Amino acid sequence: MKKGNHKGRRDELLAAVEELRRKLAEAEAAAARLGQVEESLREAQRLAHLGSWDWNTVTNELAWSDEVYRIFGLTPQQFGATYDAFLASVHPDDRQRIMDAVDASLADAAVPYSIEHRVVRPDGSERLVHERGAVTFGDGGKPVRMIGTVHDVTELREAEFRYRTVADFTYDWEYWRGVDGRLLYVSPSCERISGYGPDAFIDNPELMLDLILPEDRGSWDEHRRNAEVALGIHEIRFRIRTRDGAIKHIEHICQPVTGPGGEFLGVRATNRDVTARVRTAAEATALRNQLIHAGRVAAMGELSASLAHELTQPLAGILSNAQAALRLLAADPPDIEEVRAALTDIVDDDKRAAGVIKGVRALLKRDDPERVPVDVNDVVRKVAALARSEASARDVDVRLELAGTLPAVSGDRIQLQQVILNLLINAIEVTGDEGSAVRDVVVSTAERAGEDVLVAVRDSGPGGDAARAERLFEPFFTTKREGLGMGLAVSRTIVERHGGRIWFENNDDRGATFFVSLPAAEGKAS
Amino acid sequence: MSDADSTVFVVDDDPSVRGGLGRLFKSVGLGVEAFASAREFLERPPAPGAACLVLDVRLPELSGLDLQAELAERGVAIPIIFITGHGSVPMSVRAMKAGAADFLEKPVDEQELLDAVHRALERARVAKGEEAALEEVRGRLASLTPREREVLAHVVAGRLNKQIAADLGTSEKTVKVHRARVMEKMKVSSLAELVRAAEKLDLSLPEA
Repeated sequence: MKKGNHKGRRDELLAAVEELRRKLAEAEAAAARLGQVEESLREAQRLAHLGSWDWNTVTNELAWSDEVYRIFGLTPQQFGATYDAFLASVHPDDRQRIMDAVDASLADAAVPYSIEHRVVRPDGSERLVHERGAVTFGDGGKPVRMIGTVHDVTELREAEFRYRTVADFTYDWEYWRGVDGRLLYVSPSCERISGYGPDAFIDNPELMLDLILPEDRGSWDEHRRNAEVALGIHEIRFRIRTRDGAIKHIEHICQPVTGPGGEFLGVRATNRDVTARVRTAAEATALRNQLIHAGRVAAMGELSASLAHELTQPLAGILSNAQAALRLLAADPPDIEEVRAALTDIVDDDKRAAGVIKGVRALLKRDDPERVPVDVNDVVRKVAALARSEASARDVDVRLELAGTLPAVSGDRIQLQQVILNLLINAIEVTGDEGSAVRDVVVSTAERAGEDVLVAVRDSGPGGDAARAERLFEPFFTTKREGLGMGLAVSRTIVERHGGRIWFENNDDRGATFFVSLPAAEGKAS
Repeated sequence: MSDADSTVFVVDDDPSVRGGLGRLFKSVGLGVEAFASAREFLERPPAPGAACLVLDVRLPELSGLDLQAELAERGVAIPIIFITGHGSVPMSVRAMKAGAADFLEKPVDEQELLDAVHRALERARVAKGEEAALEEVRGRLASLTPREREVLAHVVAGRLNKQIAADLGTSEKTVKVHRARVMEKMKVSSLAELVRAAEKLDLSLPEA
């Protein structure tokens, strides 16, 4: 070798080495990048519990990504990576189903492979996976390759199961109505309450409306309109007729459903069967009404002697006038003018007696309480007329100081009469018992602060112990020898039902005053 | 005396009862005066003829029973027929004990009421007659001289003329003259009649 040649050759080699080094560095860099991509892919698959596989259907070679091994609880060495070896990892009960699905997809490109099945890991634990796959067909339409994914949905399905269980086992009838009006979910308890199963409601979204009693449909429509106008929680009560014809009371609460981005997804509603509660409340109301009625009868009982007197007076007048008229007619010549005067008096007396009976009957009859505008002045006047005779028998002067105009209160006329009657009888009794010279009872009415109607019944009795004032209104509390002590308790029940208040104050000079305040209704009393 | 001279007073606070009763009494020819309260009745001038009072037990202020007591207090003797809407036994007992003529319950049938009124008026008439007779005897007594009154007292005490003469320090003859004048002035013809007149006047005997 020549020395010059030698040197040239060496330079050539050095350049080649340098070139190789550079290429190697490039290759290493590329390999590193590839490794990074593979690493990212592995990481992504691990996070998503999503593995991938590639199956050469001709050679029956099967390649799994690391995540598939992880899902199956295997290491690459343990797995022979063939279709049969894969089937061996599948739960025995699911194998036939998988084979059928794979065969169907291999036979027909239009049939996608998508199946959920169980995997039994070597340690015996089970996983639930969802597989999806696609087949590649070679020349002549023969399948050559199938690639797919394995998604570990064990946790997902468990979560789904938990939520579904929560929903399906709710005691109330729950549903979710979507934006398009269709029902996205109805809990099975709808059958317990309505007699119809969830499918009946899903098939016919208007079924619930059909079940609502016609009388309650108006308020339901209003509820729907309100719920559309104002987002938020809306409540309503209505009655339904169940499949077997029974009436049930439903408490309905609904609220809008929104997605993660705040988008409106429909309405979620709860129908609670409150029939038993409503019945209990109705029974309690009926009992209270009976008690109030009994109180009224008792109050009238205290007045009975006076009321008998109220009736006897016109009857006495009628008898005398009638007998006088007969005599006047028998006279010769008969005094027709005087007979006419007698008959006119008879008519007046008859009307007066009828008026007394009407007033008594109104108080004794047993009607359901009503809510109508009531003129409190009129109530006071009627009661004062009833108690007039009692007052005169006890030598008590009852004066009325009524406000000129008074807003109406909303309530039951008879029950309000009962309250004032109780207070007035009490006032007459305590004033009458007192041997004092002042024998006044004053009933006054006033409008207070433009919203309350105030009735005050002021007596000239001995007054009361302010410390016991509150106990006065308890049942069976009485300072009287007669009576059950129910009058004030019943009065308080009535007043509170009307949204009002009843209380007692001693007067500065003598006696005490009972006050009743009642909220004014809209508009003036007619 | 007839019904025409009689007055039935009606006191009842109830105008229709008052009117009905008034018309009924008028229809049988009785005079009627009606009052709405006991006070009004007490303020009326006294009635000339026989009268009775038809009185409601239950009246404002002064009750029927109060009025009865008030009349007794004032020495007004008038038969009272109580009428009441709901009479209690104690109430009627109290009224009757205080001298009520009758106690009737409203509404009162005319026969019962008119019978009671007629009985009461009869009683009033009798009382009125007795009262008039008594007035006359009183007048006669007043016409006696003090000496004649002394003699009268002794005579009705059953003393003899001789004893009277001794007590009065006078002669038996003078006593006889006084005695004859007393009999004449008192318009009696026997000792028995004189004693009855003296009893009517409730003359207390002088200490013997």
